[in-house]
Amino acid sequence: MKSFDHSDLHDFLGDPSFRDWVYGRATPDEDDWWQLYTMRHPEKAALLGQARETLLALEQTTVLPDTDRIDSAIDNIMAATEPTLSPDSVAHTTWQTGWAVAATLLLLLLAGWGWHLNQQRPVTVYKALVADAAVPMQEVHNDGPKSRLVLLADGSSVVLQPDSRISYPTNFTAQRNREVYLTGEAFFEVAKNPHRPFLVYADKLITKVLGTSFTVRAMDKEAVEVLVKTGRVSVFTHDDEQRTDKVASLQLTGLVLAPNQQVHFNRADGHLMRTLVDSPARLDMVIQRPVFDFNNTPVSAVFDALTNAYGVEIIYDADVMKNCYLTASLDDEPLFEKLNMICRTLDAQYEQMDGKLIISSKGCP
Amino acid sequence: MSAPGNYPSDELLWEAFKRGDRLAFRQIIATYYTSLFRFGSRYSKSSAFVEDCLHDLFVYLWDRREYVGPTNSIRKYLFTSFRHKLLLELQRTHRRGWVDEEEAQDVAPDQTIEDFFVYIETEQLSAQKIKCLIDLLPQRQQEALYLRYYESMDIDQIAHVMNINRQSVSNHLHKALSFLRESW
Repeated sequence: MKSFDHSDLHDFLGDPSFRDWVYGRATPDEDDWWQLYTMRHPEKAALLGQARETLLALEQTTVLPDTDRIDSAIDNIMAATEPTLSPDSVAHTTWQTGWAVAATLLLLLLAGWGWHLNQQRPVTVYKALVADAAVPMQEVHNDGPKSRLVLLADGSSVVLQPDSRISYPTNFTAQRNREVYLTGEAFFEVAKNPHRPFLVYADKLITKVLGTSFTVRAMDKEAVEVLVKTGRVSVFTHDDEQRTDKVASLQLTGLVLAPNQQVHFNRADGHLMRTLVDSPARLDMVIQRPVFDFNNTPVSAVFDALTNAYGVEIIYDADVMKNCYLTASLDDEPLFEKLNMICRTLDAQYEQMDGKLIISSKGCP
Repeated sequence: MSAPGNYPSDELLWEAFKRGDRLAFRQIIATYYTSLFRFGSRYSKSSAFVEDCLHDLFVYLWDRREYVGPTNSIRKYLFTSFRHKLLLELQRTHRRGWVDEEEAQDVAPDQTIEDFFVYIETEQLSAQKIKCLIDLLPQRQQEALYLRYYESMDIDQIAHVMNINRQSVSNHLHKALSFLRESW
């Protein structure tokens, strides 16, 4: 069949029949021929082995597609080019842009230890941002051991974790955007208002939402992570060239986080990387879990759940309200809206006093 | 090289596709999908990314079928336009300022020859050794080797796909083989 005398790596690699044999594309005849060749030429074994391993290693620099995905990929292309359909409507169905729109959102900033000397610490960044704010800011510093509830003028609520600070305007009327500044960690429930984006400035990251709930954690650490359980936010850095546009836009553009995604922000090189949430255990705050599904639940248990989640004391007359039961699902709303719904259902009122919530009710029949 | 399926040559299969023959189009995709995907995986570890690029490429080709030129090698044509598409999309990803985790692995960590020799002292398997040597080659030399020996392309086709001249292709191949020969 062949009458050559391969004496170099190049001779073997350049031989199509040899390549077919190595890659398993050879005819049975060729297969036999190469089997025989290896037996007859033991002196070529090392060279042949090297050529063979080289070819296999080259194959391994690439990845084979999943066989079951090839067929569907081809079907997708055929469907997208189907002449009877408008190509525009289906052409890009497989691009990974179909973010589901959901209502709730959890956002978490985590970080590794240490920071570089040429870097500003997050608390320094925070102070600079607050000093530059266009409108007067009011600050809450939680230096206690427990989380603390902060209520904002637009109806949004913030659960500020220990060792954290937040600055916010007394009211949001002066500017179109609702802008707050954070260092540390907080859980936000933002009152929905698509016309007035809500922006959290934490360290060098800006998190933008149009109305939903999430957690931000920005400590004195090297990297920052933003984590979303449900809902959507967009995240960008302070150094983003298009920052002004992204802040101003009424759409969520650029890096958008969908459910079960997180973003890793490396303070040292300024890189943003989107990954999947590795473990739901990262959502360790009570409020990050859905605990507000009530089905004919005694009102005392409802108030306990709210107290647990928000760390706010709720005062009510347990005796008068002992016959009150609630059936509702209250996951996505800010605390105010939850209270409004509860009070409307139970024909009660609430007021806020010294950081406590006082419920007044005539009781239920 | 004879064309896939019932068509006697690549030219005729390509002509049929250009006339809007759906079966010819499907045959072209089915014939080259796996090879193109493999080639694309050299550029990105994200299967979704490679799939998306392939999808867009074929949809684009169909939409532009009346305007695409004739070809005597569909493989060469597809590899060339696909490589162009991959580079364009990777650039776009780079420009937008953030990456997905899978994409982040696309840039292989720099390995040094010292790392390699430390490695082979503890690892005597020849397959592992060759794999490491190939990883050490510059990307373009790897790509030329891959196209030459895995895809069985000739120098002209490789030059076309990689958008470099024939001499450069020969140089890449020569340097790569010399390195493999000497390091063995």
